[in-house]
Amino acid sequence: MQLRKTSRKQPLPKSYIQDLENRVFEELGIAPERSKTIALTSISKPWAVAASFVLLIGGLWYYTNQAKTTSIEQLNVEQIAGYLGNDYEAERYLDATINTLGNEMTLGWHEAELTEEAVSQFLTVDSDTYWMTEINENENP
Amino acid sequence: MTEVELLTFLKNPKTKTRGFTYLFDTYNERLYHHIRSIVHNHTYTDDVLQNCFIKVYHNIESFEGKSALYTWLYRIATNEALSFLRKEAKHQQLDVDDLRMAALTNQEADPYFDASEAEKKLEVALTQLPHRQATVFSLHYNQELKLREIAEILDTSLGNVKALHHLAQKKIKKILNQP
Repeated sequence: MQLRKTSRKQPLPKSYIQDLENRVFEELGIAPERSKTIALTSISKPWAVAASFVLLIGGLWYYTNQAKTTSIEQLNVEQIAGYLGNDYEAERYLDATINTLGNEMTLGWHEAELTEEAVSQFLTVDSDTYWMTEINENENP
Repeated sequence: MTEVELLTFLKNPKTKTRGFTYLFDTYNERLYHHIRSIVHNHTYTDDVLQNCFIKVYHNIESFEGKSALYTWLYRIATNEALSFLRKEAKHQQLDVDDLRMAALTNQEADPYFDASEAEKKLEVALTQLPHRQATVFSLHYNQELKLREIAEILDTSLGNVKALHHLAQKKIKKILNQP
């Protein structure tokens, strides 16, 4: 049997709420006070607005910088993955290739300098070489 | 309005009435359904709910803010409902659980209870449970409160609430599966 969680929370008749309100407030000897500006009169409101503004600016600044970094990284990985035709192994394959070609590379080599020409070198390393590289590395650390 | 703001209003004599009006508007339906799940009919619920709001107004100064305000409200409502059941049962010379069962008999004629067949069956099943199990189940199922919050409301351990909820679920399943 399927039970609906919310149907028992049907709104109560307004007349009942009004009647209850009358009785409660009468018993307490007070009259209900409603104001549309109740929230705006709060002391914490201006601080909340200022804090929200600061958070918004900070968030935008952070997002902009993060987005830049992410796009550079994603571009490289996607580019390499495209060349190698093997998305999920691309990063591991790249690591192995860098190790294999390590002696021929300059000390200043890093991923940010990866060019199309450099990537084309990776194509000379096939998956067999990759696995062999890993085995050799394990045997001769 | 946040809970902190509401409390600031309630604890300041100059703004107490405004804060209390806001509290009444915000919680009347939720507390109605919670109390109703314990006492099972509109007349009893109405009495308990009125007393509950009056108690809240008179005791708000003693609320220290160690738990959430709504937890405190549910606790007052639960205690008021259980206390009402005990008094009424004594008055009618019945056991509390028998009184809960009897309270349900006028459900069909009750204009404030327009539930589906399944929910009516659940309501009946709840009356067959010991009231603490029924309260835990109802707070979790109807009011969608977490077991940790229920433990705070009932002033008991989380382990106890888990056990009560487990037993309630098991019994309700059994009752609902009966032909």
